Amino acid sequence: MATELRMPQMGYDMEEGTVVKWLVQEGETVKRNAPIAEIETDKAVVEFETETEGTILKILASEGSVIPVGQTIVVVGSEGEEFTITEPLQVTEDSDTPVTENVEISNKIPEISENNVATDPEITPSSIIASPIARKLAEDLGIPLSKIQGSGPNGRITKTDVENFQDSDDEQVSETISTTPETTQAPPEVTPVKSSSNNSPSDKQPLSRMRQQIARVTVKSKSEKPHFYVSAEIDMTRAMALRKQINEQLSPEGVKITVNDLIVKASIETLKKFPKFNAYYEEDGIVYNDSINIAIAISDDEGLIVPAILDCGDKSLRQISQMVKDLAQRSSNGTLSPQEYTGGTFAISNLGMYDVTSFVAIIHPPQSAVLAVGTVTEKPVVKDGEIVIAQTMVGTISADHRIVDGAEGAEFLVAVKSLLENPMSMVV
Amino acid sequence: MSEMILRDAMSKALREALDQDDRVFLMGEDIGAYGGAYAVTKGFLEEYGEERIRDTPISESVFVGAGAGAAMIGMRPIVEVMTINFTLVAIDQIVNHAAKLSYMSNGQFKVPLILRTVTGGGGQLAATHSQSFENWYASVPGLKVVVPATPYDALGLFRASRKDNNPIIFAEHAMLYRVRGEVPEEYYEIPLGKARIAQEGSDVTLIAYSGMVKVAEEAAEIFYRNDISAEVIDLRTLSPLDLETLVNSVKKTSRAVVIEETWKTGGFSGSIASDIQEAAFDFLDGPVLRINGPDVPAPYAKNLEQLMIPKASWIVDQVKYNFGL
Repeated sequence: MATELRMPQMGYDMEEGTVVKWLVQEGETVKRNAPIAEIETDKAVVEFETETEGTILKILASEGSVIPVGQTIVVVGSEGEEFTITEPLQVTEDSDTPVTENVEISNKIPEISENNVATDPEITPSSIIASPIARKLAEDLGIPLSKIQGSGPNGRITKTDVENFQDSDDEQVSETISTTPETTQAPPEVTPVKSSSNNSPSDKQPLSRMRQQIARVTVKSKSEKPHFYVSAEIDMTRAMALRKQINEQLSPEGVKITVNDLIVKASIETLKKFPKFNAYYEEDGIVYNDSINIAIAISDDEGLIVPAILDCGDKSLRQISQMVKDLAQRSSNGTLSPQEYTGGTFAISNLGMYDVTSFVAIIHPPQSAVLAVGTVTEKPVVKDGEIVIAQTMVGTISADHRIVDGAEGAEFLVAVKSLLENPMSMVV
Repeated sequence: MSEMILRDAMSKALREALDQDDRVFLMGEDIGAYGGAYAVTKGFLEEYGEERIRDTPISESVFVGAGAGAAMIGMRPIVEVMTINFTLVAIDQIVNHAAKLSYMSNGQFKVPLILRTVTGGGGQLAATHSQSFENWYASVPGLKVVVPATPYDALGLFRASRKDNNPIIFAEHAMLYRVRGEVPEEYYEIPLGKARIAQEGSDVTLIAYSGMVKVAEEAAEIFYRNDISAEVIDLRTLSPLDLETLVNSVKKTSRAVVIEETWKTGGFSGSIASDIQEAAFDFLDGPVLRINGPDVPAPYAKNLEQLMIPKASWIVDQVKYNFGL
């Protein structure tokens, strides 16, 4: 039976992806999990794997086309097999002729295949809430509603949303052009060249896709999740000493534990005791994640990503250190997997490399908490009635009040603090 | 150009009618010796005499019917019913007789009757004296319903009403008699069925009439301070209804709010909202909103009564919520 493979949702908030390049041709035979295309999301180019083996029967999305999540892009099946696809392909951008390619649309009841890549089949034009004028305007301008974020009640797409989208459309076009289909690297930062005839305000810089994404995600988080914050000063003296000792002894083996590794490890151990911080909120209940995936905020010139080390609940400090290092490396060369991009269950944001005391972070949806840590600094503290010099760091947990309350936040943070102040238990 | 309050504009309109047309006479409760419940006809009895300024018994059905009859035989009666609440006693004369006679006589009879009456609440006159029924009359073919909001419009619309050969409900809002406005010395008329764009705007259309126009203008002022440009339309007449002006405005703004003092259920705002969405559906950016008083009898207590009269803040809240402005 032929299987439709659809544009996967590879990121929270991902609504569409660009088919950068096909790695296979029609008629070619593919094995299960073989990479068949390169797909560009808001953040990176990733390989798209087939979840079913067989023959590539029909490639529906041309290279460079932007396809809404959930839309069929390729059909895989047995050679010579007759097939029908459940819906016409809507190419949303790309060419000046909006193509609607109908491939043998029959009146059969659409087949629902379990082999389909995880998608959101709900995103169809009729299920999008948009005002009449927004629909009309979008149609006149040739803008697919699925690309527009609604700002009205119930997420309704309003006239203003379409107009704003139209205003930014020129930038998007230039961006698509600047991304050459051959490259597998993250899209270059868009620095639009302003023509002198452009009478828009000269100091306005168009938003890159990543900037738009960050804007959407942070606004959504802050408007949906009631954040609260708990801070504590953590004495890192022992942790710093332990780290020094480990690194001195194990450097021949290539081990270099960072302060962040210790914080990751302490968070993992604490999350085991407080699983609510590793869960997320839904309208009808709290969803507990099976595994602990620690997301790490990584910033670069373009902006910020929060990829995760996956299933690290039973990993040693040494393994964690290696995983984090690997994650950072692959994020810089754009080879993270979709799961790493989106699978985080708890996040750590560390600005310790800057001389900042403390800060509060925004929770990365759908997660429920993020730990923000500042720099480790030497300062006088009182211990046993004596003033001594200690290395301290301020940690601040931001948590979703719909799941946990202030007291739980305090207990969680104190547990992290306790582990970092008595770090031996994390390595033995 | 001189400034005057709406009461004086109405007095001026009535004097003009009496002075210019011998067929005109006034009839109603307490309009003569007492000078009118709202003092519009103060001094008229002395000036024009008992034959043209006729006090009537408390019997609305009789004197409204008499007015219709006089109109049928060529007079131009101006009948005052003290408040619109009391027109219910005469509703058979209004709806079944005055409004139907021309039609049922195949045009052999005309009924050029102007029925002046006072509408609206806000004066602590309690449940039976604070109602607005102009929306009911606006649903009756054969009647015209005039609902001025300013002294200028009151005079101009009355002049046009005098020339009309149909029965007219001329509803003056009790809380507007002291509203001041400019009225030119030179003669002018305002045609029935032509709405007034009280304020031009581009983001949302606020449609109101009578006492609600100033409420809409207050809301527009709040919007203005928040960088939202509201267009305020004063209907002036409910029947005929100037749908064209409304639809043109909504096509421009994509958002419409209809504001009306009376109860929401059965309110004329519902009819207008429906007309707009039929005529301009593809231009709408959200539901056509209706701001009406709640479906309760008017309380006597001042604080409670005020709670049932639409306020600018109601409009602002609904617009912000529904249109995301």
